[in-house]
Amino acid sequence: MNAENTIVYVKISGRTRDGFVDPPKFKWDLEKDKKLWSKVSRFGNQKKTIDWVRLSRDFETPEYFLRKRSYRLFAKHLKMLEQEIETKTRG
Amino acid sequence: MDAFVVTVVDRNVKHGLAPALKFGHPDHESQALMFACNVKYIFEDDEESVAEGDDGGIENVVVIETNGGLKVTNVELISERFKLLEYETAEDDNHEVVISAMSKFEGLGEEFRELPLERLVEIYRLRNDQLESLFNTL
Repeated sequence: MNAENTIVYVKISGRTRDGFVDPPKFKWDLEKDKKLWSKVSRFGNQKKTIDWVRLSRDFETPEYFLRKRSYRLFAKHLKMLEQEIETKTRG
Repeated sequence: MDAFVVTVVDRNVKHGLAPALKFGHPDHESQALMFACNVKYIFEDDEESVAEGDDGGIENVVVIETNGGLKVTNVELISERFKLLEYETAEDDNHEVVISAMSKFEGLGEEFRELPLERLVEIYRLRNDQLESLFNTL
């Protein structure tokens, strides 16, 4: 299941396109996801801000996706850590 | 309007059960997570003709229906290889759709034979639940 063999149709009722342009199809897989995680999870070490424009260019992937994906990766990781802490401190 | 982000998780037990957190990320502990990054939008109130693209090589079609508030009202998965179990949107983001799907049940590999009985019972139960979900979609 990837951008080549899978297509998603989002059917929206009660709203007009109003200038919205479909984002281009792009390639994303676990390999890229791992690379993104290793990049964004290391930011902050050097007190740098994330250069989304550059990441977008490097990954050939729209910025909105990288932002959402990074946010989700962080959120999940934190949740998992919270659970670990909870299990370990429950005694 | 934000673009949608659609991920598909294969719940097949061949990917293992709950991933353990090592040094990496829970999403990267198996091959279960997939990304559908070819998304077309259809505004039903517009009289636009749906551009018939070249569907060559397309094996899976996902149809996400939303209302005017962009709340997801239904998700369908048309595929030979995957069946939809359930879907959810992220609590904090309507535009993020996570689809739980099942690929074909397979014989369990060598690594499963090493597992303790408790674990196998767990897998058996999980598969039963998944089968039930699949039956419910018939």
